[in-house]
Amino acid sequence: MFPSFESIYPNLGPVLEVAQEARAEAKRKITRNIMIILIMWAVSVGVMFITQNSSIGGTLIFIAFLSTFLFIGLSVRAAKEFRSTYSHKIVGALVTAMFENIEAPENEPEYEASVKFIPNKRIGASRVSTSGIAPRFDKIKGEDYISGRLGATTFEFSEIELIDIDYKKDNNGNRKKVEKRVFKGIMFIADFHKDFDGETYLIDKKFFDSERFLLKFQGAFEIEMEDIAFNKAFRTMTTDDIEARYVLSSNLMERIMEFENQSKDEVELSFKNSKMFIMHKSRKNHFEGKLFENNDEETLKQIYTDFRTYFDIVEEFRLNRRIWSKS
Amino acid sequence: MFKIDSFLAFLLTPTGLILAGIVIIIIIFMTIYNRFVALRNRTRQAFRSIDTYLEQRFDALTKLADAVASHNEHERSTYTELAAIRSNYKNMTDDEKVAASNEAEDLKARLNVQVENYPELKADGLYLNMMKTTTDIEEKLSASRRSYNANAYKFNTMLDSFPTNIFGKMMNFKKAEMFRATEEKREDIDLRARLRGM
Repeated sequence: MFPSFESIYPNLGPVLEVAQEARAEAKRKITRNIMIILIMWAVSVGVMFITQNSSIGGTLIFIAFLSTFLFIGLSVRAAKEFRSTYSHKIVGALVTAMFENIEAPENEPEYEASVKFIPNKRIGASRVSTSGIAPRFDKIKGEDYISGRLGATTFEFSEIELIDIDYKKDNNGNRKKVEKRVFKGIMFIADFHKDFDGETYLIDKKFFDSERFLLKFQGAFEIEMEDIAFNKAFRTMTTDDIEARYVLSSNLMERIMEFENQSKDEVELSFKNSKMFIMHKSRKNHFEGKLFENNDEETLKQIYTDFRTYFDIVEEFRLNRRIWSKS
Repeated sequence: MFKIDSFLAFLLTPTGLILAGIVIIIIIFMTIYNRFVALRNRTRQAFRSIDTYLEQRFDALTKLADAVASHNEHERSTYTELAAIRSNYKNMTDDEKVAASNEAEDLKARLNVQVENYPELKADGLYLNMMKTTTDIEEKLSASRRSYNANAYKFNTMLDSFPTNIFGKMMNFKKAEMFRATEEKREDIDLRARLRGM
């Protein structure tokens, strides 16, 4: 269905040149900034030694100190500019090439595939909260928003980071703001192929599970599915056990298990408002270029693999099969 | 004012121990009773859903049979049989409903064979929509059966296990009957597993 990486990589030639230029420009700026910092410190220390005048030397060291911060800031900005160019031009071109060269399934001449990639956008906070599987959070950050359609299924996902803000008193009795990261990873939302009104959650099995108590408080109860391995991997909570079994067919459970086994990190799912939500914990930044890695083929191959992990959910979970009466 | 020390001292007296024992037994009794009631209600709800979806399946199959009959009047017998079962369905006993459901399975198989003779019907949008509705109802019916069996299994296990069986007998709860797949159904399931359909 999706073209192989090897088949689309040669078409990315022109944009890869842009990547190389952007990388060279960023590296040049960073090297220049480091050189300026070193020279400033060398001059300051040198003048202090030669003149033995502490006021001149002190002033120069102060200036060198301020310059260090300034030029480190400029270097960080150069690196950000490179990542932004890489995301907009190269990652954008990669994902477009994947969708332009997609092979429509047999007997589906009207198959539609479209995608939109916005590197500096993320999934909205309200959508994250709606999922019911997100931990409590006060602040959200994120990037690399992808939305589109594969056949009859619309989908969206992005990297997100959820932060919980707590206030604690220090030894002097002052109120101190403490930020704690409660989630980092990918949030994936797709249109589900069946209509349902209830809510079903597949949460990770933990010894002390606050999520389970919260869901119980909201009216969900725990059920056991027919698959023993599935019950070992997930705690199934639902507001309607008949609907939960309608949503979680044996084949879907099998595919969810495969997805869970393939991913090294925690996976939680929910089914609400006829949509499927997946929260996939991950520590790495998935869809961006590496400044100090010249092998773009390797970087892009990794990005391609990461994209496939999520695009393939639509096909793997059979979300496109509208053999049910969903309008 | 309530003093924890005097309360603990009272608890350690014979009267206190007896009262604490009674309170604990009442709490255990209430928890077990509530669990039994919750499972029984879920089993009943699943059973009602099965009934509703069976009725909906009859409606969908009758419409399908009507569509086939409108293509060829010779095929009207399936429609007539389905319509006759459907009209009496509401007044049937549970056993009669199960028999009617099995009969519907045979009629559906016959319907599928009939449809094979009319490729233009198979490609018709209305027919495809009817097929989708039927598939959807059958998925819901299957989910209701799975739900019924899961809850009935838990309920029956509680009635068999110690010490819940003591409370179950005291409360006069009766075992729930499980749904069993017929031989043909079992073969159908095996075939589906092999083909890895939807």
